[in-house]
Amino acid sequence: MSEPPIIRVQGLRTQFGDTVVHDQLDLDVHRGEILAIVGGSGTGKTVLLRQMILLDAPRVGRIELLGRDCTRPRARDLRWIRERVGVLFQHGALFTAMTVLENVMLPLLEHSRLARATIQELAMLRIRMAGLPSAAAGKYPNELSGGMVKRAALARALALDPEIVFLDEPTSGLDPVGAAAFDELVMELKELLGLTVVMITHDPDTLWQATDRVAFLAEKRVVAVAPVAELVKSPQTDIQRYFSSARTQDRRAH
Amino acid sequence: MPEPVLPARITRDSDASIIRCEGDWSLEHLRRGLARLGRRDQRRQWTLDVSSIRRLDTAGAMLLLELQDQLPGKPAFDGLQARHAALLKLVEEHREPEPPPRPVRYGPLASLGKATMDVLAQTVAFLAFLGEFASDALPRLLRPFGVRWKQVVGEVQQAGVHALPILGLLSFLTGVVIAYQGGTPLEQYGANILIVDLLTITMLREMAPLMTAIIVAGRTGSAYAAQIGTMRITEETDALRTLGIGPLEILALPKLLALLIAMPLLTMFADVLGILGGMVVAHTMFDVSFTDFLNRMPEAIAPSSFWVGIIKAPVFAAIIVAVSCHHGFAVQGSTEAVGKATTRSVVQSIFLVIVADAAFSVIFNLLGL
Ligand SMILES: Nc1ncnc2c1ncn2[C@@H]1O[C@H](COP(=O)(O)OP(=O)(O)OP(=O)(O)O)[C@@H](O)[C@H]1O
Ligand SMILES: [Mg+2]
Repeated sequence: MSEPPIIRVQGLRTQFGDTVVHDQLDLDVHRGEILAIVGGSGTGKTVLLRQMILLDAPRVGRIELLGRDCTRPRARDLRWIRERVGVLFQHGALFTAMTVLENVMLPLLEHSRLARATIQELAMLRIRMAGLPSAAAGKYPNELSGGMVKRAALARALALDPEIVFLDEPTSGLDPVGAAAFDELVMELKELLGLTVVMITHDPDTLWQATDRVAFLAEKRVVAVAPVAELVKSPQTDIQRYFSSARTQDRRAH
Repeated sequence: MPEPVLPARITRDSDASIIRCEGDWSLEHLRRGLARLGRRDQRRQWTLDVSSIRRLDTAGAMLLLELQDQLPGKPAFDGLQARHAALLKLVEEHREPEPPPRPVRYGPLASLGKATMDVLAQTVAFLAFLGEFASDALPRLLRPFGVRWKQVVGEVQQAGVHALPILGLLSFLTGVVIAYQGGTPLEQYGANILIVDLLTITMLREMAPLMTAIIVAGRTGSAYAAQIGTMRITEETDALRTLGIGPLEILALPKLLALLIAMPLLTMFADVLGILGGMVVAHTMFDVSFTDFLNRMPEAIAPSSFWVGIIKAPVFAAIIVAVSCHHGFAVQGSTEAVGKATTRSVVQSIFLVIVADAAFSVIFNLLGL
């Protein structure tokens, strides 16, 4: 690849009190790929994601997004980045005082110069693309099922046609059909929009079907980044253990 | 290698009947009215040339489709790149023909009716809450070992000990103000010593219990409503229920006990600081020395004045806990509801405290206290 990586994490060290979560962690994400971050529970996936979406500043190390140094971003850079990065939080984080439609319209109203009617239509488009029925648009988050919350949150994450989307466990809590449709949608958007996707997932179907590369977190760093089919052949014990469990086998053939 | 920015544009070539779309048709380069055509344009036959569109995202795709819809005969896109075609197809599939559902709006009369019914429903709900609370709490209180005393102690610390500085300061200042305002007219009659009567009676009977109740309602009642309301949103109260723990018993009962203990003590503290404030003013401005003041006090007031004030405190405590916990547990759905519950709990507790205070005055009057 001649193009520089769209996300570059270098020498990251994260520490809470005495517990070191990351040490000397490096990770590159290329433009237009779907990268999954996997690893056992508590290996610091969510923490890494929070640093990549610039919610927590790294104490030690460097983070670059879209070719800009974002370790200590200035307000103007931050706004520029925010318009190009969408985030789906693990539990949706929808604004409970707003309807689904208003949730999706909010970033558009804030960042675009389109007329309100167009924005509303655009928001409806996102909601339907995320696989929600139109009737859900007028509902409040507490009136939605868990899976619907995920979809609504995806609609909001995609609202600004971002270049990068971060997904924290996007398919957990979805039924298998819904999860497969979710993967399809993400892949389709990647193809059509050149979207870069970084996701945390434990869903083996997603890993095998939807990802281009998988980054494996263990021993406080990314121990391997490779397409999943290569990764399973890795001799590393942590990786072997993770993939030897029947749950993480490739189930496509079965 | 950043490419130069080319905002989305439409150019019309009227001679050749071509509408050309150019530039970056992506969200940040789109603006309102871009895809609106004049009435005259809408009547002509056009060819839609999209070959020089560079970037296209879903927002741009939607505007393109909108543009196409306005043209007679829906001309096909000319020179469409394969990548863009797939995107247009995706957007077309998910485009919403009908507008989104409108939220229900009430007329003025309906709103009034709804507001009235809401007030009634709230009153009923409050009474139901009191009943539930009583039936939950009484069996516990009959077996004192079952009460969570550790929590009670923690709540006493939060609601009582931590309130001492602010309550002390405000009571002191209130004492200062009462003594100063009351002392000036008394001085004209040479009745300076009566400051003692004025100050001790108002402080002990009214000011100290009220000030304490208002501060506790604002500081602690609001915190109770916010805490319980948030726990409702995060389903923590439901989790308690599934674990076989009554949310009222674990959340509301320790708070009630804590305030029943803390508020009489806080009221006494306010008594002392208020009178101290008055004493300082009496001494410095009205020539009533500390000794005179203290000597006069037993003559000025009957011991009942003290008890009349203190007895109000537990009642106020019960009002504050009941109102704030009720509003906390009534929270549903949104975080906004938590804010509303907090406001309501403070306003209604203070309101009810003052109503109760008036009722006390009538009762004590009848009893001749
Ligand atoms: N705010 C915090 N304060 C202290 N420790 C934290 C904090 N956030 C995370 N940690 C610790 O950092 C480690 C990594 O947490 P993280 O949430 O990133 O795990 P994870 O890889 O996302 O796990 P899972 O797969 O279970 O979601 C954990 O040991 C956690 O206890
Ligand atoms: Mg996590």
